[in-house]
Amino acid sequence: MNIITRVILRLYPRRWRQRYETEIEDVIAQSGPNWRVLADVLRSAVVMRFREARSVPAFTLTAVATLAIAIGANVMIFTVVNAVLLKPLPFPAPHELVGVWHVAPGFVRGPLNQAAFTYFTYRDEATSFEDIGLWSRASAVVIGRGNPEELPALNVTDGTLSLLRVRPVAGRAFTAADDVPGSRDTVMISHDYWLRAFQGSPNAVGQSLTVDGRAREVIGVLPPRFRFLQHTPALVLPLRLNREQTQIGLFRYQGVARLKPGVSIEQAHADLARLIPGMPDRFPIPSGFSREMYDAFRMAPEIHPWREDLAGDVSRMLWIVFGAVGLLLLVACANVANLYLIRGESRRQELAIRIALGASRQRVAGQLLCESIILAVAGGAVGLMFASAALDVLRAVEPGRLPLLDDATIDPYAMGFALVLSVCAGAIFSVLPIRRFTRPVLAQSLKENGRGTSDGRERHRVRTILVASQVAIALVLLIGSALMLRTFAAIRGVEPGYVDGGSLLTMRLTIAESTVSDPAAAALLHEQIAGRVAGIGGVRSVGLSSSVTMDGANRRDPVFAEGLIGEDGNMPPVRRMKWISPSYFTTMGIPVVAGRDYAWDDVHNRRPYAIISETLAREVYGSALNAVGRRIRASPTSPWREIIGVTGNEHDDGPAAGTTPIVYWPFLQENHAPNRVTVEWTLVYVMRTSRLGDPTLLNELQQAVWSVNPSLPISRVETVQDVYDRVTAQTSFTMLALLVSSGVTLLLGVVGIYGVIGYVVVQRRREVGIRMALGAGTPEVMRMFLVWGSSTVVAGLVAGVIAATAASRAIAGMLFGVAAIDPVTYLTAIAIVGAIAGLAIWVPARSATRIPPISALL
Amino acid sequence: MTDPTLLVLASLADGDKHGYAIMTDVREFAGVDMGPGTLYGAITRLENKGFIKALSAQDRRRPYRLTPLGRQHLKDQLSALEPVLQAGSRRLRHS
Repeated sequence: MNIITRVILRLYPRRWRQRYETEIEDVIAQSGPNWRVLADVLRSAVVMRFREARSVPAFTLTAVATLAIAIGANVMIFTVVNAVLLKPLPFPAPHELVGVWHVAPGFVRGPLNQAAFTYFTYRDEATSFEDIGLWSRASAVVIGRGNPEELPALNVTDGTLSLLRVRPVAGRAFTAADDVPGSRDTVMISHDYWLRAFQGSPNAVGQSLTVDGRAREVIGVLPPRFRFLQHTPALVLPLRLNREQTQIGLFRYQGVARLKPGVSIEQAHADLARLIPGMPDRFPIPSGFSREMYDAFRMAPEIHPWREDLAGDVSRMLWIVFGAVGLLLLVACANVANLYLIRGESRRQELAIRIALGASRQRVAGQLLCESIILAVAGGAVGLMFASAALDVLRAVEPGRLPLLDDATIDPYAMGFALVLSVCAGAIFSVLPIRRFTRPVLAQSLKENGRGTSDGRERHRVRTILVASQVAIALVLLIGSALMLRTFAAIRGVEPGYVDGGSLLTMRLTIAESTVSDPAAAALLHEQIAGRVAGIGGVRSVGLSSSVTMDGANRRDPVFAEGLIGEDGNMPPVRRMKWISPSYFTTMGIPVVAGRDYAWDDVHNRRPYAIISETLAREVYGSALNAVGRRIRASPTSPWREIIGVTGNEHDDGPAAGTTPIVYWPFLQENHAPNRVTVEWTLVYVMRTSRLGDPTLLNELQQAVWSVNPSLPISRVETVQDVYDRVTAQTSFTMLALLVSSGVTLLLGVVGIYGVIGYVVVQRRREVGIRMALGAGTPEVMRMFLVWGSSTVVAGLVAGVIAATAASRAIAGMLFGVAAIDPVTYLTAIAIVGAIAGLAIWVPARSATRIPPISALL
Repeated sequence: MTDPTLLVLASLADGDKHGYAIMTDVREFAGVDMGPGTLYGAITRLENKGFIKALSAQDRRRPYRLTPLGRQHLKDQLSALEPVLQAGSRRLRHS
């Protein structure tokens, strides 16, 4: 409600806001903001704007408004594109920073992370890097400073921050000594956390902070607004990879490196590629795996500018939307050019007299250009305000996975862009009026004594092109948005695997290994907490899992199937893995299609069991029933585990990505890692509840957890539906942006067509009058305009279809459940644009039939 | 009688008030629920005409005071309404 209030208040004139905004916000707050109050404020804002606008001439107002919408939309998208794709990363010499990944087509599809063995090799041997660092996101529980809380953290190797040239504002950065396993535990804290937890005290450095149950010395404070790609960690911890225990495998970390000055990405690529074959000579291969398996990975480096790790897959979507608003600007320019031509008619005499009195044509052209640019700059200024308000709305609706949206602001870059765009738009739409009104034939205007005459052939052609272009562009955008709309509908139609994500609440809970060191005890603690949570009124069922559907967690390992896969010495494909508790499937609404779910008894007795998804069961065993009783394992040396159940499928990589083959292990296991009992210290608690939206529920959850152990915080409380919405947000955002662009373009197009036909009718008034006086009837007069109008619209539609076919390649990769050239979508869009354009022709054409014959004489 | 400017003037006739106090006062004496947009629309017009003036803000609230010109305007408006009220009441009694 607060955001809506702020957006509505932005509609008031700026001067009014400066004077009254604080007061009215206060009154709204005291009135208890509700829809009635907001409607009243909205009405008042509109009335005030309307009163203000009444004093501005209609032509100026229309032109400025048209340009403001188009320039505003362009500036808004530009700010996002600039923040996400263009602005350099906030580190010195950002062009030298590269993301270091791998590909291994024989092992896994898509990019492969870094591992300890690659890191040590590259750091020791690579000659193209100034330094390389590994990092991973994490969260850490801090106790002893108010309530226990889970904070976003970053694990880094010792060179990571120094290669980024991040200098702490207090204390020191990590050194190689901090990164040695077994050395004194240290932590760096963010500037915000320093202010919050240590009140900005200079004595914070050197103090102790209990992180995940372990006392760590605070050694440094990061600079204000420190951000690592899109992450803003409160704590930075040393990663502490153990060189002595490093083996080939475990690709768990992301890599960042700084190229030496003058070294290209290609050179760095070649440098790393030469080191990969020798890695098994430097580090041992785990038992059960072989050198042949390693070679069969076909591992190669993948290096790209680090900025690309920030933008990810949003770049294509942003460029498409940017293209769409660019087209919107073209239509707006065409409209304003039309308006200008029409208005110019009334100034023909004035301009002709000036030329006749000796003003050079260049001077008159300069005047027209100047006027156009001033008009466009005024439109741009209003557009900046639109863009600012629209960004507020965009932030409020949070199109998830749009990184750095907070950086998308109306800064000097945006202002400069608006200015350039305005000047270009002004120049574009002044071309036609300048060509038309500064020609020698203008002198004839003096003789015409202001009487309207029928139009010449060239003017006619110009208008035809303008109208046809508008129709074509409107059609392209409408087809684009219709394809995205159908994609969105198709995605929404995919069953994600669970039932009613809106009533599934999740929270993360970590039991620090240093608090409860025994894995079996930690498992018991999790069960106890789950029991307390299940006892809360309105909670129908509780399940625990290392990750929920589509939350982005991507733990994977090869899966060996007894007698079927992996026993021939070849590396089996990697599969998604989750660690769960009993009742997880019941709570999520994922059916067990064969066999059974885990029981708590299975978990605590560490029985060697597994449950797999139906997709995996069908792929490996042919059917769900065949899978039950068979055995799998995650490494050649771990014990076989019996499949006791097969479940329905989850679309874990997003609804458009197909069902994911998954292995669900019990969250307490023996020998999953060699000779060890392992437990999932951090689990997502999923609850099916009827009390979502109840503000007291969160408190009850926290109390339930604290009643078992008062040092455990809960974090990331959200619904499964929130996770789903975040995953589909890109599609929704693209669809919404294209829909709005095409809607506005269509509206501007209709106004443009209506204006042109209406103008032609006025221009040919005498001709119509004469024809009617000579006996022409309504059908003949209508035909005069309809034939021209319809043929122009048809030409525009044909051009639009050709352009849309070409442009559809750009969005083909974003479509789901609909072909890029889908006949139904194309025909529907053609029908809509054709019908609306037809109406815009018919209405003014109809008015021509009411011209009295006497007007021919006037 | 729901002219917001007149209601605001009437509310300020017995002393200075800030926005929310005017709203609650109007609701009490006239039974009119005036929204914040309507209220500040009226305040803007009255300030522009010099009928009320803003005093210095206290916290986020700014009290308003009736000016002599505003007081006179209120009197004129009420006097103009007087015959209407009397005639209306008389006619209702006799109907």
